[in-house]
Amino acid sequence: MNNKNTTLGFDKIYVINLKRREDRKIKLIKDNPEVDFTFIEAVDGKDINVDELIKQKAISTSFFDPTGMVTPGIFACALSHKKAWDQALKDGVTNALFLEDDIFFTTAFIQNGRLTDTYRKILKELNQHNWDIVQYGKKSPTSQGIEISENFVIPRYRTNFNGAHCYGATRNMIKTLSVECLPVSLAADVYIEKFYNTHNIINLKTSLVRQISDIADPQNADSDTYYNEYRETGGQVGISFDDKGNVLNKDIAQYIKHPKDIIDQHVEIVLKKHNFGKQKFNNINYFGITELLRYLSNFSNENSKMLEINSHTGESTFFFGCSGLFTNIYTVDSYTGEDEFNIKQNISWEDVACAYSNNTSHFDNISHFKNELSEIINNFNNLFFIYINNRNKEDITLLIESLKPLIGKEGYIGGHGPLALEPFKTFSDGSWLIKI
Amino acid sequence: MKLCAVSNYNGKGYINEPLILKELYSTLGIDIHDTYTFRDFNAPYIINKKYTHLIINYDYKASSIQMYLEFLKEIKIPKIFIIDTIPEEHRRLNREFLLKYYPHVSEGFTALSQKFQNILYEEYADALVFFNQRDKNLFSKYYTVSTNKPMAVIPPSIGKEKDIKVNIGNLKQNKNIVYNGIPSYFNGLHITGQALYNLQDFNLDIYGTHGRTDLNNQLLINDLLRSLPNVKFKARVRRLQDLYENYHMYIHLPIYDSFDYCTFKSILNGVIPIIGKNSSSLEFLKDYPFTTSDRIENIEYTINILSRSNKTTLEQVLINQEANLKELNNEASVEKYKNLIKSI
Repeated sequence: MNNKNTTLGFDKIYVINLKRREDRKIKLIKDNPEVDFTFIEAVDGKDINVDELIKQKAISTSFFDPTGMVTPGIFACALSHKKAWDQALKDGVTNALFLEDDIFFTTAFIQNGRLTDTYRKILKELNQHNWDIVQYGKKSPTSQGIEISENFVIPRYRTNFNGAHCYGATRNMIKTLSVECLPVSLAADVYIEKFYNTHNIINLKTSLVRQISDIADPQNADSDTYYNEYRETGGQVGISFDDKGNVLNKDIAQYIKHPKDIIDQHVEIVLKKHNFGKQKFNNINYFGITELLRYLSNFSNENSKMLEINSHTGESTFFFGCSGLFTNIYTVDSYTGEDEFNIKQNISWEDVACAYSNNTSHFDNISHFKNELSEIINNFNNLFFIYINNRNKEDITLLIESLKPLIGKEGYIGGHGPLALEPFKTFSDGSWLIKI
Repeated sequence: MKLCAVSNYNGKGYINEPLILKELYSTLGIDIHDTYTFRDFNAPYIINKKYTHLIINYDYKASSIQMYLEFLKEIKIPKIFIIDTIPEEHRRLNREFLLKYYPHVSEGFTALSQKFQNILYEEYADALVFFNQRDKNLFSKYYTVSTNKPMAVIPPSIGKEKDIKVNIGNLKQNKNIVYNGIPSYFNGLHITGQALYNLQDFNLDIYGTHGRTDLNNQLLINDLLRSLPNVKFKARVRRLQDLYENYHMYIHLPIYDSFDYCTFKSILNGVIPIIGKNSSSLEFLKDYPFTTSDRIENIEYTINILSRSNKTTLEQVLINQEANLKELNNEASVEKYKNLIKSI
């Protein structure tokens, strides 16, 4: 740490400030006339094009967040921090303090050109610790953790909720922050928290630098990241969920995935769909079903529709989706009754439905019917292909007879599991086809 | 034989486990490209194609079995579970700790239920590796798996045989004691702290991080730090080698452990360990003199005896352990894994 009082013991203080928020810059300087700030023009959420940034690999195709929240302002904020880190590296600092422009100091750090006694004590303690990042303020007024000295704690991962509005970092850490942040997949504060498990991050026990929006009523808070623009447009930007967790607004997100293991995962907000198209199947088959699909691809056309019976966790459905052979894929499974696999694996039908959703959420041409087949069979006609997962290893001869009228002019019924009839063609995993 | 590994330890920031895993992967020729995470749902298909066996390092701190089942059910090659500790023993100790010290705190122990752990081991393990004989015995107490599954005790290795040499030149006699790991009840930090209370002229530096039972560990270490001015928490150490430069003693007095990598490394680096009688380290360090029960007076006595021992005696203690340490060599470990794999 240096002795330069005007930069509070750091080599430099960088402040991220939106060009259109000159008001905040003026207020910060006015409130802290003895502090030497270096302003970095922030990336504005109003100006960014998410698709373009994904193409440039500045933003990841998936964004992870503890609460499943994202706005253009959040991307812009993360990119602004990156801009500040890069400037610090360019300036050759050994350490630096990084601020967002909507902060205030809860106590004086400098008075009449001298560091205050309180702050001098803090700096002295800081110099005794082996730190990579020091956080002077969090969203909460205090930080819990291992109390390594009078003023500092080592926080626990994912506690002391976030905040990237005032933190110091060593040069090595600034390098790491800058190198690892692209493509952006986390909000700036969540990204910093990621390093709790790999680096030495220490926090002030009491947040001495707070963010204005953290102490205001959300209805009145001044925040270009979360509130201002989004409140004006009725909350229709970003993501909101219905009571079942479905995404209501898809301006940014295509779909979301809730974590399967909450210990180390945030909600995944998928920003861009995977580009599944008509697959060129690999000659080496991992799955027999790809053999079957490759065979069908010789006869399908641009209007081919299919029905899958007993779709269960949607593993086969995933491959039907990937194949790109079908304009519409209908699946039916009532998710009721006894299932040997479920019992053996101790999973519920709810788990099965969740797995189905995971396997199929990439595709917008798959529709599921949570019904008994008999309830909906009359809804289908002109199908090119019907696939039967014979999960209960039953005699399905009669079922096949009842399905034949659903096939159009020419088509196939295929499946997996026992078949009492002579199949038209079989594949290496035991799948079979009957030509209709 | 081409091995790969999958783990959910990635990015969790523990202290002992990554050191063991790093050495294990290096010993078995598993490089970074051969390691996978459970989150990568496409990995099973690559694994099935490229490798002969999968090593599974599973951290019990998980909230759901679903992700692991989905991954493991797709694996067609033999799966070897490394049982690096016994989760149910941790659960028992967590309960014991809270009852003793913080009865108002709810249990909050995050791990798969015993039933789900058993499903993983029974349904998906083709072989099981334990780090010590005690863990193998404890495993049978808590879990029910088919008797025909090969089970082997293969302690982690600590280096190539030719490189396992004690650096007595590093030995420094002072009042500085160090511990590197998780400041937990099961690692005996409560009794270590009590001993240090009466030994105010000794300094204990603890390097580490919160660990798995993070809140409980935080409560424990904060109590020690508040009441003992001679105990400091120093955060994560940047280089393991640097850890030993200023210390005379390494202390580890666990109630339960599976393999404390730093105990062995401390001997190699000329730092004398004080080892609790419950430590699994003593399975490998035969006739080691500086051991102690968990009685405070015994711990104090051992620290004082060690502190007063002359340099020649201490050098001889370290040299005497070299042969024991050499048994933990990479080459022997590889042979044991090969034998286990043959038996699958």
